Amino acid sequence: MTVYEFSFRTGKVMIDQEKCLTCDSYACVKACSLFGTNLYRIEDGKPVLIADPQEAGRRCIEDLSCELYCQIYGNKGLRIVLDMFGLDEYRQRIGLG
Amino acid sequence: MPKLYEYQGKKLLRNQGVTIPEGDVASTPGEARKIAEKLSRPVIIKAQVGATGRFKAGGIKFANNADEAEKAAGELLGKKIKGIKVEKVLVEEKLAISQELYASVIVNDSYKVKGPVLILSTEGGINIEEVAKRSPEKVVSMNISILDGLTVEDVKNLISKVDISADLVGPLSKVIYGLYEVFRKYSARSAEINPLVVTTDAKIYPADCRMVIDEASVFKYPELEIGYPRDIDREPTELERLAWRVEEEDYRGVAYFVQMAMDFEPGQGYVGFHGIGGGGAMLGADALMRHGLKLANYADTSGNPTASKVYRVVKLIFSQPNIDGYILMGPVIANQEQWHHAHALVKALREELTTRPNFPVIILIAGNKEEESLEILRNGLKGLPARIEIYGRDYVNNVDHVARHMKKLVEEYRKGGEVKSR
Repeated sequence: MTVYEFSFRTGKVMIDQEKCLTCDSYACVKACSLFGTNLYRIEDGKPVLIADPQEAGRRCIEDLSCELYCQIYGNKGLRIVLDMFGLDEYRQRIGLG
Repeated sequence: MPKLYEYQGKKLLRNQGVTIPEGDVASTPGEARKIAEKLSRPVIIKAQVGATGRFKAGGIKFANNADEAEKAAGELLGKKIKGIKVEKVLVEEKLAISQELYASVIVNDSYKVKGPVLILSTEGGINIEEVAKRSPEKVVSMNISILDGLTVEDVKNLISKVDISADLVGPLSKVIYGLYEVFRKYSARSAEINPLVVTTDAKIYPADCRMVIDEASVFKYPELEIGYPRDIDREPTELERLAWRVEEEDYRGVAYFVQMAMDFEPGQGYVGFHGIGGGGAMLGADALMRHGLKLANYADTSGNPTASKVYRVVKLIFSQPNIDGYILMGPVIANQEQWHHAHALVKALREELTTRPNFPVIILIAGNKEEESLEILRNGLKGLPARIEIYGRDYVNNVDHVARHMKKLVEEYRKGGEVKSR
C-alpha cells in the first residue's frame, strides 16, 4: 500500500494511492477546489499536492471535504486523522471507545 | 472571560509601581500563620474566589495575631463562597481607612466609544452604579483614545473634576495610571480597584483588585497561569478542560463547551446541545426546556470555525454518556460558511450513530451556503440507523416546532427500548 500523506495544523491527510488508481471520480480534488483551497491536482491518475507538503499544510483550511467526498463518491482511499487533544483517551477511559 | 484573583491583580499593579498592602497568598492555615507572623500586626484574610460580594458571603475575616489568622484561614480554605471552593486566601495588613475611592478601566463596546473608559469615584466600597445614581457629582469618567493612549496629566485632569484633597492628586494619579497600564499590557476587558483606600496617614492603597482578561488574548500571558479561561463558577470538568484545549490549539472561530449536568441516567431527557449564534441558540435552548427536555451541555460553534474544530465539538458532546439525543440548534441566518459545519457533522455523526440505533438527531442550520449544506447533510447522513431530522431557514423563527419534534423523537427513542446505558 502506498500511502501519500501530509500534515496540516491539527491533523493529517492520508491517501492510499493504490485505491486512487481505480477511481475516476476525482472527488477529493473537486471537493478541495470547491470547499477548500485547491490543494490537489491529478498526476498519473492519483491526487498529489500542488505545493510542497509544508506549504499545503499551511494553506489547508481543515474543511474535511476531501475525506467526505472520497468516502461518498470516491474509492474510500483518503482518510483524515485529527488530533483530538486527549479526547480519544478520555473516551477510551469512560468506555465510549 | 477569565477573571484574575485579587492577589494576581495586585501583583500586576505592584509590578507597575503601585504600592499595594503588605502580605502574601496562602494555601494552608500554616502558611497564613507564617505570613501573619511576618507582618506582626492585625491582618485581613480574604478568600480568593472569582466572585464579588465576598464580605457579605463570609469570605473575608480579620485577625489580630498569627493564631487568629491561622484559625480564620482554616475556616475559609475549602469552604464554598458563592458556590466556589476556596483554594487560596490572601493575608494582608489591615489598613486604617480614612476614605474609600473607586477607580476602574473598562472596555465600552458602545459604537460611540469602542474603547477603554476610565472611571473615578470619590465614594468606593459599594456598587459604582448605585453611587452614580445617588450622587452623580462623585463619579467622573473619560474615554481613552487607543491611538493617543493615556498620560499622567490626563489622569490629573480627571481627578481635578472631583472633590479630592490636593496632596492626594499626585499619588492617586500614579495609582490610576498604573491601573491603566496594567489594563493595557494584559489585554484586559476590565480592571477595577474597589475600594481604593486612602489611609489615615494619607497613603493610597488598592484594597481590592479585579481584572478580567480578554479570552482570546490569554495565550499571550502564560505568566498569568490561567489554566481554564472560561467564566464558570466552579472547577471545570475534565471534558471542559479538553474542550478548552480544542479552543486553545486553534483560534479560528469559537468552540465553546460547558457541561450543564453530570451523572444523569439514560432516559431522563438530557440532550447534547450544540448551538450556532449565541442569542438565537439560547432561544432554542429555552424552547427545548419549555418542552420538558434538559440540556446535558451548552456548546456553541460560531465565528466561522474550521470543520475540524466543529467536528471536535460534536465529538465532545457525544462524549457525555447517557444523552438521549443530539441537537444542532442554529436558529440564525448565519454569515459563516455553513458547509464547514455540514462536513464536520457528517464525519462525526457517521462515526457516532452507527452504534446508536434510533438515536434522535435534529439539525437546524441556516445562512450562508445553506442549500449546499443541507444537501451535504442529506447525502452524508443517508442510511444511518438514527432518527435524523434536518431543518433550514424556514424554521429559524419556529424553534418551538423544532423543540417539539426533538421531544417527540426522544420519547420515541425511550419507548423503543433503545435507551441503553453507554
